[in-house]
Amino acid sequence: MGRGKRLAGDDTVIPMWKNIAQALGLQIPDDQLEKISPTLDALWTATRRALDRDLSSVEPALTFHADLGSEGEPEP
Amino acid sequence: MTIAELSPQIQAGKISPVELVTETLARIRRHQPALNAYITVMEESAMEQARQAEREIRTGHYRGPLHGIPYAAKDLFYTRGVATTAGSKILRDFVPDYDATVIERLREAGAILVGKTGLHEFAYGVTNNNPHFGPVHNPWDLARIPGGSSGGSTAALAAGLCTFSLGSDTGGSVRIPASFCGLVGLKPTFGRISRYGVFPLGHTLDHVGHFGLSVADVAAILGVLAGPDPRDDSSANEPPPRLDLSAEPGLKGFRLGVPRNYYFERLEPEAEAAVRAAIQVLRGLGAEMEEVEIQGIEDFTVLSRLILMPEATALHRARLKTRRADFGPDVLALLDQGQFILATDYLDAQRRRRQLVRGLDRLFDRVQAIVTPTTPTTAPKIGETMIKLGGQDEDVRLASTRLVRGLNLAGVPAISVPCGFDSKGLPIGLQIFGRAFDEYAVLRVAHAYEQASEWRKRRPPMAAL
Repeated sequence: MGRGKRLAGDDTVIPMWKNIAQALGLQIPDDQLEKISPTLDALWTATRRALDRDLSSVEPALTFHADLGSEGEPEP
Repeated sequence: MTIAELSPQIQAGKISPVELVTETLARIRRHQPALNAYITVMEESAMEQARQAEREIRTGHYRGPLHGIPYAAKDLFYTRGVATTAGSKILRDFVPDYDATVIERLREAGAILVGKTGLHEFAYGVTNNNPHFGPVHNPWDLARIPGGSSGGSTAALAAGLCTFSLGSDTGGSVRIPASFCGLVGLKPTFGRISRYGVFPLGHTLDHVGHFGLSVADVAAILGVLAGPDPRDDSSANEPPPRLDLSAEPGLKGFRLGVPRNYYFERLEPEAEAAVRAAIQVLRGLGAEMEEVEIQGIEDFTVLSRLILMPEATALHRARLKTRRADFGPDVLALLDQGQFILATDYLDAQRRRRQLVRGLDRLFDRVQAIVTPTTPTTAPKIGETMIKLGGQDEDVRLASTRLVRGLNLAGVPAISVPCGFDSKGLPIGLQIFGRAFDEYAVLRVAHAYEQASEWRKRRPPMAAL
């Protein structure tokens, strides 16, 4: 998927979004991908900092009950 | 008039629900062209319910403080036989065959649904600049946004087109429009109010909330809406919240936290001044103020976005393939962004969330509630995308959500109450949040402040027309 790009003055390597979109078969037109790329860059950088710690012993804050019972109504 | 003012008169037969609903519907007809607050107005069924309420009350079957009171619901609450669009072109013709739990509970309490209000498309945004139904306008200044995504519910309430209203809050969508429209807006604890029959946005972040003209009204509504629901997996089996706000007047001995980090950075000076003045009022009411550091609050905010994006995209993935052209451009961009979030990042964010929430919970051993600004600015203009704060340009969406979004990650109860006006005459909001399931602490502070200030008495000029 390419080596990614490095932000000036930062160690964070930003993924090549276009390559990822192609690899995953996402049907996002190039001009729209260009528009959202700066947001993805910023979010990627911010979340590297937020997640840069050992979280392996923490349970994710998601819920699952084995006794699901009657499922909710399907979404439209 | 507030629920607290109306309900004794309705019970005593001095105010007729039929007359009240007739007047509300007339006000909707008068102001809807300027505000665009409603997507659907339910004249026929509202009048039918009003006649029923009147019969019941006249024959001694008074159901409680919401009986005969007209309200509005954001158009993502399922209503049997009535279109529920979620503000989208895609669901424009969707008519549910059942009611959301909260709609059921309000009907049982005798409240009268007068219509379904406008929202940001699929509740995924804060401007309510909806490409399919048009923008909702702020009653305080029609050139400005009401905030979102529940902006139709606040525009309608502030202009007197209902007496209370329902919203939902995934990243601030109750508290932001409450702040921008000068109303009280409560996002209770995650799990406190059923989400069954509410069109989702982010499954682990969505909360049902509501708006009122006073804190007492919001408490009365919570009393009806709160409670476990076996049809909602996220519903909590907790005892009902304490709601007797007049039992402990003032705040003597109440330990109230004021953050020293994050919450007072890059605010409009007039917003900051109003919030600082409100804190002095709270001190004057006897609260023991303590400066607190909220560990990792920046992480709360960024991880809340990281979690929301893939949750929303997963929800709409099939529609992204089949109805791509039918999404508005801003929502489509957000849904596209969600396709790039790694599953490992999503799960680590949900792990980090647990750590952060534990840290916040420990803070509530020291203080009973924390007070902050709700938004860094008053309502931006319709179409405005960037604002300057503290010398920096900031995206309106990020600025509006920056002080509220993190609390959806925490799931704790949070309220916005009016605390002043800027020099343009626009309302400013004060946010108060507390420990999970301690809505009472949050409501108590908000009520004490409200009683000691005059802000709630100010209504937009069109509310008198």
